[in-house]
Amino acid sequence: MLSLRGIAKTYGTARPVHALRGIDIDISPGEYVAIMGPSGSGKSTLMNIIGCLDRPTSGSYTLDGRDVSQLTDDQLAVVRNQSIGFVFQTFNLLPRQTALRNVELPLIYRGAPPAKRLATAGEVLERVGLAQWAHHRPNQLSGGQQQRVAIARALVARPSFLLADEPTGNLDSRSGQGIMVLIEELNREGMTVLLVTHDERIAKHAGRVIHLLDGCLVRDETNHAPLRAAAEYERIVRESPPAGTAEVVGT
Amino acid sequence: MSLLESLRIALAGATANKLRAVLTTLGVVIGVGTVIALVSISQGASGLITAQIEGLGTNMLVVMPANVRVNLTLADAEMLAARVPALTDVVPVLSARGTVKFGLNSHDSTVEGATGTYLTVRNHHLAQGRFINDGDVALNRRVAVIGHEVQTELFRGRNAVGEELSVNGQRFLIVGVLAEKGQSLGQNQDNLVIVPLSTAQRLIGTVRLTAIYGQLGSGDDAPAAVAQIQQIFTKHFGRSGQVRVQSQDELLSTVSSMTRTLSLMLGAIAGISLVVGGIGIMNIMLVSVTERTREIGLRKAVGARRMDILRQFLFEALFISLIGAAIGMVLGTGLAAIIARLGGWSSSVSASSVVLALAFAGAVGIGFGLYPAMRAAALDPIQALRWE
Repeated sequence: MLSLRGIAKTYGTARPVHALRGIDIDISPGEYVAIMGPSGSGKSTLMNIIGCLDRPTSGSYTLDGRDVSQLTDDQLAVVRNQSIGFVFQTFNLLPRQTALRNVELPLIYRGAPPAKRLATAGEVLERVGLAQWAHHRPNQLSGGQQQRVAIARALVARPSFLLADEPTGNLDSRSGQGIMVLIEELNREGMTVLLVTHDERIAKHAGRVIHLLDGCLVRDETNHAPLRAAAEYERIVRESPPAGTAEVVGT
Repeated sequence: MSLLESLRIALAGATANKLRAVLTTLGVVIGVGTVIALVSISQGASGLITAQIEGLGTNMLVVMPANVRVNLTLADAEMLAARVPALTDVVPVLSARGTVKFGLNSHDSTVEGATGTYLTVRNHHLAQGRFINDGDVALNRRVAVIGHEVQTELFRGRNAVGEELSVNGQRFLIVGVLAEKGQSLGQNQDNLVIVPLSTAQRLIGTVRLTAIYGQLGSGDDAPAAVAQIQQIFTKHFGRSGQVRVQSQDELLSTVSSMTRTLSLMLGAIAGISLVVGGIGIMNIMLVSVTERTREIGLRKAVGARRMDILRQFLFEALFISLIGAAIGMVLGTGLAAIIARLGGWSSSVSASSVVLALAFAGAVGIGFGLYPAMRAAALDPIQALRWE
């Protein structure tokens, strides 16, 4: 489904910086993959290329049987719209729009009719447990709820995979774990998940962990006993007092 | 993405910060308001002036001596009547200042010696009595027709016909009163005492005419008639340039070319303020693009293409400038109405000036919105998403 062959990315020409030096990765449908590495390891560059936000300097990237490594900006926009669901660390919701309108956004650029868009967006919001918050704006929602809206937005166009960049980075441990539970459930329902993180504990939830260092893939290992997010969440809920003081615990 | 969708998003964007949007429109408001008001004012004023010129008489021309050494006489007027077929009527006029008295009331007025056709050629109407006729002229009768102002000044609203008044010390029988006419190009048309030409020649003591008025059958004949009259007098006096011949058409075209120049000048001023308004829009749109860099990055990440972003910001600029145009139109129309009331002409806002102002405002919105929109469309989604 997703196949990288010899992906390299070099910035600058006079004194070139090699962000990626020939990466080969294959990811099959339904996998739960964490991409790890310290800052400067090429993690972000790889994520941008996989997310079709950027093109590799060399190498090929095949997504759903199509080589997308040298498409134009507008062609990449269409690929992002149809095949990729982004979840960002900072949520990136439009502040003046309701949750429903935020979730609807990718469908607008796909050209879907308004009634159908809102119906689909409503269904997906319900899936992430925010049906009754559909008409609230982001500033009326908690961080965890905002990230759920963002996940709903990523899912609404039925993408091939979910690309989550530090999805819990801006959340307290309890809401963060709630997000991890949701991602785990989605994966169990068949969604391919790519998780980009520098956090060892977050990466432990994935069934496969890819380590990058200095632009090279240094380790690609299968995690036979991934951490069960649901169990972890229950433990946190049990141990921590009600929300509000939750961030004190677990850090 | 459909155009309608782009419009909806642009509308939401423009109305997100209402105060800022309204302040941004100010330049366009002033520009469009000025266009509408000034065009209406110049049209109203030129309409008023045109009406005044036509009030002097219709399809008329005037022959006047070019300097004090030139003598125009009744014979010259008769010569014109005989030799210029385009002239349907010729009125010799002798005009002088005079003092008119009735009882203890006295008034300074213009005394004009004329013939019977004066009434129609100069576009006057009688309010009472009769006008000077050929018999009066032939018999040097001491009869007078007085203007509206003379009647009010001397008779204070009482009936004047049949009374005797004195003009420069000589007694005249009033046979008629002219209807009120008002000012025409700064000339008071009501402060008049009209007497038979022959009587006036004796009263004033000269046969030298002040002017010869000619009535033309049609305004189209004016240029040819003017040329012919000049030719006749060149031959008559043995040299050219002895008389000034002015047709009403010429006067009208002078006025209309003046108003055209005025309109152009006003249009240029309005155009400048629209350009200034456009720069204001560009400024705010650039700020808006910078503020919404992350939004643009996100929209691109979820599938917005270059054209989608371009249209969103272009429509936003267009929307702001058209709102400005609408407000400007209301204010401009109001201003035109107020000034029309002060100036005493009828206020009208022509459809063409509305279309012109709208089109110009639209062009300003697109022209000055294009650069910010192109900047937004060209943003790199990775950089934009990282923007703090």
